[in-house]
Formats: sequence, structure tokens, C-alpha cells
Amino acid sequence: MAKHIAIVEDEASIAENYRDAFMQHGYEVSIYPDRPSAMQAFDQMLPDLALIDIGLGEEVEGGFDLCRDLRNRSKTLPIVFLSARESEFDKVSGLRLGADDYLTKDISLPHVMARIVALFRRIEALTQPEAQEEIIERGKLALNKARMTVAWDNQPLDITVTEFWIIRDLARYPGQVKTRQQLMDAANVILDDNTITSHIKRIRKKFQSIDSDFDGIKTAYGMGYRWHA
Amino acid sequence: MNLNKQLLCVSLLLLSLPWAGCQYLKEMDHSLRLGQEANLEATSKVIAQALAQNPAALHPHGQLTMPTLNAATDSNAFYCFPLDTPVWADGYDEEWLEVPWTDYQSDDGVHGLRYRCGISGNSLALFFSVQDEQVIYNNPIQSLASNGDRLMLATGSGRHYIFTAVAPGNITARYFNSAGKTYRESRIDAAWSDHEKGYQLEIKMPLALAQGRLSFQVTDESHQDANHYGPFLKKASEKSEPPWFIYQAQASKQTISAFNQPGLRLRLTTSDGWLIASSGNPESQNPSQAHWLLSKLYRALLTSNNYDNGRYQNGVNYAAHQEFPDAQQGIASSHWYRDPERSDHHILSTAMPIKHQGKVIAVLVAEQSSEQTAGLTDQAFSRLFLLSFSVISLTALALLGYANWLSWRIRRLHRATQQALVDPNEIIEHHPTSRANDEIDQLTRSYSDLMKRIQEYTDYLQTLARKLSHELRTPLAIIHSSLDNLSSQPLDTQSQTYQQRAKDGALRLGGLITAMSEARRVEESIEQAELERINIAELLQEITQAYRDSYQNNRFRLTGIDSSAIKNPDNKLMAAPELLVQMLDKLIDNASSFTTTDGEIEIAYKTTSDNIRIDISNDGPLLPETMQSQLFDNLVSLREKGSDKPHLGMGLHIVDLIVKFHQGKVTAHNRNDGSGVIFSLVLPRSKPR
Repeated sequence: MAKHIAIVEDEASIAENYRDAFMQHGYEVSIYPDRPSAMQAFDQMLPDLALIDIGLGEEVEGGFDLCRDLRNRSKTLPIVFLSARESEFDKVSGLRLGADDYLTKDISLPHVMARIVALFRRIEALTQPEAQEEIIERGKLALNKARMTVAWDNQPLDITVTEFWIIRDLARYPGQVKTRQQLMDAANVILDDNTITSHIKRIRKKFQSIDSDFDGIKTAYGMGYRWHA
Repeated sequence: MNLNKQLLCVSLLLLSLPWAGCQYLKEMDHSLRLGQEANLEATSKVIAQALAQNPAALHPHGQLTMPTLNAATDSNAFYCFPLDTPVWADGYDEEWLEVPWTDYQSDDGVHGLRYRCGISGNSLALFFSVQDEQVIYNNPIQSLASNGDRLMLATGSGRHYIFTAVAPGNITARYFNSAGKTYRESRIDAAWSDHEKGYQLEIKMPLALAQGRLSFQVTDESHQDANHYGPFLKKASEKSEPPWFIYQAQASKQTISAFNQPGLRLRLTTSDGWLIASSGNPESQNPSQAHWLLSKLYRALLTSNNYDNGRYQNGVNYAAHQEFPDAQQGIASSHWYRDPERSDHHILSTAMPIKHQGKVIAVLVAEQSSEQTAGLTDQAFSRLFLLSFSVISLTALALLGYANWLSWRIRRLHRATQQALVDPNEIIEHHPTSRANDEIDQLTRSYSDLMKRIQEYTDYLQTLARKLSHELRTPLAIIHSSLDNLSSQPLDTQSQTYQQRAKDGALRLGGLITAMSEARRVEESIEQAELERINIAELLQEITQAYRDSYQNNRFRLTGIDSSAIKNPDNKLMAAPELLVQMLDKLIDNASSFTTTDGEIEIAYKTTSDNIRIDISNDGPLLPETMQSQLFDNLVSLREKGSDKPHLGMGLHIVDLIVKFHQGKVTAHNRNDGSGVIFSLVLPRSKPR
């Protein structure tokens, strides 16, 4: 059965472009131009994935409210923000509300597709038995590629898809310096250097919340980052 | 010339205040003097009228018509000078030194003599000096008084005394009675002495003996003809009496002294100016109360007035005085003289004719010192002086203070404006305000408004990029997603080319939009930046290596870091490494883009006790002098137009933001030798906020 993706986007052209792309990949797509209509539809049935814009018509932060509602209904529903807003504050807010990823609108369609696919794969993997999974272990770090989960010292880390791809790219070859461009490519995202920097920061914090002595990601000044075993 | 000096110059105009005061004082002094003149004339007129009632009292002999004496042309009368010392008739003139000679020349010019005449108490004294080449003494054997050189003195009593000598020394005065018999007059003392040109004769006789009239005649026996000469000779032919002689009689003085006033000198002269009585003292009885210096200053100021009409001549003849000729014509007249003894005092002299039966018989001269009024006005002056001095000092002080206040406010405004130019963010908070509702305050407010407008405009410019990037992102997303969808459609080669071109254009547009909002994102990351203690030297070493890889066209040289630098704690600093790297990226990118291909970029590292300094210099075009301070402002770019990459002038602004976050300082200047540009970065060791 085809996966159902809900696009909540007030800009019709974008919504339709995304719908066309998703439908070409065999997904079923519904478009809701504002929060009330989306909520009404979600009351009937939850989609398999929600792509939400933050500013919805008159509601400047309608996407956040919607995200909160959806998260209350389902702990596992993948929610992705797609917004023109690129401020750090909005990103942090969105991810805190339980979104699985935060994408800015300059991302290309293939990248969006990669993310959607990855998210569905993670959902699927979570329902599969663990034996089949490919696990990368680097000291205390354990990476589950299929489920897209990361654990440090056997404690799971709550991370987004982008963050997972960055960690995986770094940890795959410890000691090797990964440039920001390489990390961007790995994360299927076109961002500027600052965004990678803030992603790295956020990842470090997440590790440090488990282990305050975490020192796994080293900065190679002027070049990029490397995994420090 | 600053405002203070300008106002000081303007306040010099205050000096016109004392000048005006002095003008006023001069006016006042002038009118006071006019008043004094009028007053003195009135007083002397009353006295003159009173004296005219009793003309007999004017002269001891009671003549209604006063004698006249013209010393220059007519020696027919004597003026007897008052003598201070008693005269001894000894033939020598030591008592007479102060009395002027009167010359007498006979009509044919052959004979000459000179004489002096004086009054000492009740005695009449005469001193003759007769020119005579050959003195012939009297031979008493021939006669007692009618041979030898001799002098005959005619008096009012009708007796003609003859003085002749048998030898120098005391001689006896003799006279002839009507019968021609010779008598001696023992009340007259006389002495004869010789001198190189003739002989001298000194005579002393009681005043009463002369009875008011006197004349003389000299006989020179050594001349055969015309041996008699003298004023009396002419008169004798007219059978007249000798003329009255003039002297300062006690009786006259008593007459006028009845009118004495303090500070007033009254003098009586004959109608031709000879002094016959003097009473009183012209000195003021009101001495000045003012400080001597002020009173001197005051008189010095008044000296420039029009009263400097020559010195007062204190003599016995008033004919030369300027006011006198009018008085002789019967008109009262006044004149100011300089006091001969004190140069800053003046004497007012009024000549008032005394008329009897329509004829001027005598002249009353009343004299007063200018001190009579000046003594009062100089007190006014000293008060004026003190008052204007204090007013001037007070006003000058107030003006100076005012000027200081004004210039302080203007300087404050100037400083605030300067500050605003240096750091636009402090425009509003630090702009001075004041409660004074004047032009400067209005100017300050206008400046404040202007600055606010500029600030708003700057803010607008700064947010414009961010807003624009936000607003452009959605339509760009539409283009991108449409092109992405298009690429999954079956297209011919031509369409694919166009589709690719459109994609490239959209990507470039996206890059631009990202660059536009870069500063804003840096600001955000600064807000969230966390400080670590990092080794700057290590960071520089690593990053330089990275730059060598990324900028293949440039050579990099790192100086000031040795092998031990990594372990040296001096190189450590609290900083946000990502931001520092970002900043260095911008500076290196800037240096690389301005230097020539294969040009060298030097990174010089230096530590001091207070800070760490990093100089990044490159060969290349110099900075214009005027732009050096604005270089780090937002949206300022010095790059030439037409370069391949877009430059919005944000790179160095981002550098500035990051350096400010580290409480450091970044400056750009040209190398001293003009070969390139240096960007100097100074990071303090103290902990950033």
C-alpha cells in the first residue's frame, strides 16, 4: 500500500511541485493550505509522514502548533518542517517540538526525496527484528544504519536524520578529516558552512548530555571535522 | 579661533563702558567748570560793583583815576615790587635779586640806566644802576649837590632830592628849598658804589615821604651837552608833578579782603594790569577724598580736555593774561590756566572791570582752583571706576562662563556626533539632551532626529537583506522544485540545456540570497557562541596549512610561532574557535582576492602581556585613505565592479562582528612601503562577555 504524505503548505505552487515529485515516486499525497483544514483531515486519519511549513497563511507559527498536535497524537509519525525561515531559533524550536527534520526551502527535490525515503526506512526498521541490522561500533558509539539510531555507552541518542548522516559519515573513518562539503553531501543537504557548524555543535551537545567528557568530534580548523576514537 | 576666544574678543567691547563713563565725566567736568566760571563771574561782579561804590578806597591816595604804567614804552611811572626782606641801603643789590630791572634810555640814545623799585614794610626802596664811562664825583668845595654826576628824585611833596657822592659809600640826600638853599634829608638812607660801567645807587626812604609820586632825572657831568636825562626832565617842561607810583598798598588789601572767601583769591590791578592788592588763597578747601592713584588717573583723563591754555603766570602784571584785554574794554572774561606747581590742577581766573562813571578804573581778578569741583567729581569718578570695574569683571566672568557653557554644549554635541560616526549603534543612547530650550538645544534635537533617521535607515538597510532573502526564498523554492520536476520529464536536448541553464541561474540566485543573510546568521551564531580556552598559535598553524591547500595560487608565510608555541599557555585565550576560523576565512579570502597570482600572504603572530595580535598582510592595491574607517561597516565594498563573484560588502562586516564579540579590535592600513595592505587583529586576554 502506498505511503500517504501530507503536505501542509500555503504556497500552492510549491505544494503542487512537491506533490508531483512525491507521486512520481509512488507516494500518495494530500495538500492542505492551512492548519484548520489539515487538522480536520488528520482527525479522520493520520498520514504516514507530514511535511509542514511554519508560516501557514495568517498563522505565522501555525506549523509549530500543528507539529505539537500531531506529536501528541502519534509518537512515531515522522514530521518534517519545510520552511523559508532559516534562523537558528526556528530550527531549534521546530526540532524541540518533536520534528524529525528541519529543511529550508532552498533544498533540492532529490534531497527532500532522500530524506523522505530515509525516514520511511527508519520507521520500517524500527518494526523489524534487530538481528538483521547493520551496526557500526566505534568504541562507545553504536550506529544502527537501518533504524537510524545512535547510542553512546549503550544509551540511545535522540537525533534527526541529518544528524544521523553526519555522525555516520564522521564515524565511518575515524581520524579522517571530513570537510563541511563532504558532510553536507552525506546529509543530502545544501547548506552553508555555518549550518554544518551548528549541526556539529548540536550533535556534540547531545553526546555531552549523556557523557560530559565526550570528545569524539574534533575540529580541524579551516578544514572540517574528524572522529576521534 | 575657538568660541571662547571669540567671545573674549567681543567682551573687549565692554571696555567701551569705562570709556563712555569717562566721556560722561568729561562732560560733567566741562559743565561743572562752566558753572564754576559763571559762579566766579557772578561773585566777582558783585564784588566789583561793591568796590566801584567807593573808588577812593582802592588806593591809599584816593585817586579816582588809577595811574597807568606802560613799562615797555613809557617809563614815567614806577611799579614798586613788594620786597620780602628789609633793604639796607649799602649800594649793593643782594636784596634785589628777585626784582626785575626796568630799563631807561634817554631819547637821544646816548645815556642809559636801569632801576629797580620796591616796597619793604613802610619803606620805599630804589636801586639805580647808571651807565657812565667816566664817573665824576661831587666836589664839595664847589657846592654840596650841584656838581659831579648826580641823580635827582622828584616826589609828591614837591621836594627834589639830589643824590651825589664825593666818594663811594653812604651818601646824604639833599634838596633845595625854594630859595635855592641846600638842605639834607636825614630820613633818607642812600649809598653809592662804583661798578665797571658806571655807578650804582641804592636809596631807602619812608613811604610817606614820597607822597605817592615819584620820578627821577640823572645828570652826567662828563658830557658837555645833553647831560641831563630822565623821565622827569620831560615832565618838568610841562610843569607837572611827578606821576603816581604804583605799589601793593596795605589799605587796598584791606578793602578787598573784606570780600574774602575760602578757596578764592581776589586781586586788584590797575586798568593796565599792575597788581595793587592781593588777598586770599585760590587753593581748594575741599581736598580730594579719593585714592591718590585714582585722583591722579582722573586728572590725567581730564588733562586731555580743552583747558590746557598755558601755564598760569604768577606775576605783578596781568596785562599779558588772556582774560585781561576784555576786562580793559569793560567786559568780564574768564580763562583757565594750568597750575604751574601741579600739572594736573588748573586755575580759573576771572577778570572783572571796576567801572566808575563809565570808565574802567581798575580790574578785579578773582581766581579759583579747579580742585573746587574736581575734588568732588573725582570722588564720583572713583565710585564710577570701582563700579564699572566690578561690572566689567562680573560681566566678563559671566560671559566667559557663558561661552564655556556654550562651547561645552557644542563640544558635547560634536563629540556625540563624532561618536555616532564611529559607532552608529550608540547614536540614540548617548545623544546629549538638555532642558535649555534654545537654538543649540534645537540643533541638538535636530541632530538627534537626524541620527535617529540615519539609524533607522541603517537598520532598514541591514534588515532589508534579511527580509529580502526570506521573501525571495519561497519563489526560488518554486523555481527549484519546478525545475527538479521538469528534469524528471522526458525532454529533448535543447530543452535539457535550457533547463540546466535555468537551474544554474537559480542556484546562483540561491547563493546570493544566502550571502545576503550571512551577517544575520553570524549574529545569531555569535549569540549562541560558547567560549573555549583554545591555543591560538595551534589554531593558526592548522588553519594556515589548510589555507595552503585551499588557496593554491597564493604562498602563505606564518611568522611568530615556534615549535614550543603549542605548549605555551601564553598562547591560550578564551574564544569561540568556529567564529575565529570564520573570521580568518573572511580575512584570508579578502587577502587572496586582492593579491596577485602567486602573491604572498603573511600571517604574523605576536603576543604581549595584554593581548594577542595577528597581522594578515598581502601584496596588492592600497586602501584609499578616506575609506579605511568605514571598511568594516555593513554593505561597504571597495572591490571594483565586474568581478565574477558577487560581493555585498559583508565579509569584513562579519569580521568586525566577530572581533567585537571577542572585545578585540581590527584595523586596516597600508604597509609603510606601500606594497600592500595589513589587517591587524588584536584580541585581549581578558575574558570576553
